[in-house]
Amino acid sequence: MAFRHGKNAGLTLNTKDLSTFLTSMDASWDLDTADTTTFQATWKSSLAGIPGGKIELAGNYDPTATTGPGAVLWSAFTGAVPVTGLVYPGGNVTGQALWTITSGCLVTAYSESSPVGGIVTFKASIDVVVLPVRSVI
Amino acid sequence: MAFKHGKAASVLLGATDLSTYLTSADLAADLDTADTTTFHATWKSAIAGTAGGKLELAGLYDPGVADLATVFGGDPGSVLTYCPAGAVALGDMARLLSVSEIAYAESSPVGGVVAVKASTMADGEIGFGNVIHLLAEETSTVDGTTVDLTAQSTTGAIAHVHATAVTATDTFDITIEDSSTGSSGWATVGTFASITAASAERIVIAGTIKQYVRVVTTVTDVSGTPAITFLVAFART
Repeated sequence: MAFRHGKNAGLTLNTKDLSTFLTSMDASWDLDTADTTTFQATWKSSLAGIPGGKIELAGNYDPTATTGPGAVLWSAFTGAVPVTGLVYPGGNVTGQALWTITSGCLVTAYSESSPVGGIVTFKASIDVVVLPVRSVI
Repeated sequence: MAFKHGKAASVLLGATDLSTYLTSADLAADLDTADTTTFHATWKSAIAGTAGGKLELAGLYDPGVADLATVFGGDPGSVLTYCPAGAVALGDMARLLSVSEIAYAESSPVGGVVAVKASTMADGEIGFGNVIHLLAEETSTVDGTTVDLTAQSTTGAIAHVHATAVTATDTFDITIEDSSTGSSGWATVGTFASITAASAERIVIAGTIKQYVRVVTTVTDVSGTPAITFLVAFART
């Protein structure tokens, strides 16, 4: 086994590396199913449908004009066009997995939060609208 | 990296700076999507729909500050500027919203301070831009400090002015100028309505905006001691 700490994770969106701004990243792939369970069945059954994916991001706000998370994510959000994403769940190092999502990251939500007692933070949601390709670096 | 504490955040609604009454501000923008997945597809697909946004505010009740309560249920168009990490230096980030308030609540716990919450919904595009005139006083006709917005754009802009204090009888004209060099060739690209009382205005500017901008204040002095305290935020669209 070669477990990895979450601190190594990384994300590049639209060629901009957002890794050092992020505090959490959750990429999930799901498959629709059509239930085929019938009367007198002893266990539920189903047929596979179409897979999809989503990426949830959270991190620390940074006002850096062109490379900060606000600029990168807001630009992708208002552009409303899927951009390319590179997802590194265990980090961008040899032997680790890489999900390549070519022109398939559609930013569907972006939020900023300013609590009086803490750091300014942001969150973003990305719909993955193309089949991601998994490889090992 | 330049992470920021939330304590310096600023929120201006209409002619009032609400910052010293608030304890949290949460801006959220979302994009509707329309599913385009078809037969034989190997992965779900979607196309972008319409974007929207809202700003949630929470803070401390003060009977002398009625803005949050009075704009509730009103027509859309209240001018709101939110600076996530504050408006302490020219160029600080600002979010420009035209809002309608859709919820307002006051809470009086027996063991604590009276609190308020408000939810606002963006009416139209949210501008992601910068503060180009800090909330500060001007007492004479003056060309403001040049702000470098990094690049020229051709698709227009949104601008907000919040005038929080204005001397009676005087008139103040606020304009926005742009320049390619930051030192010469200044031309007016945006003009707010003449200000004679505390107020706020949102204007939409079309066309090319050059890299550098500044705020120009023109004073028509009647009182002999003219003064206006205002903030201007500017966002390319």
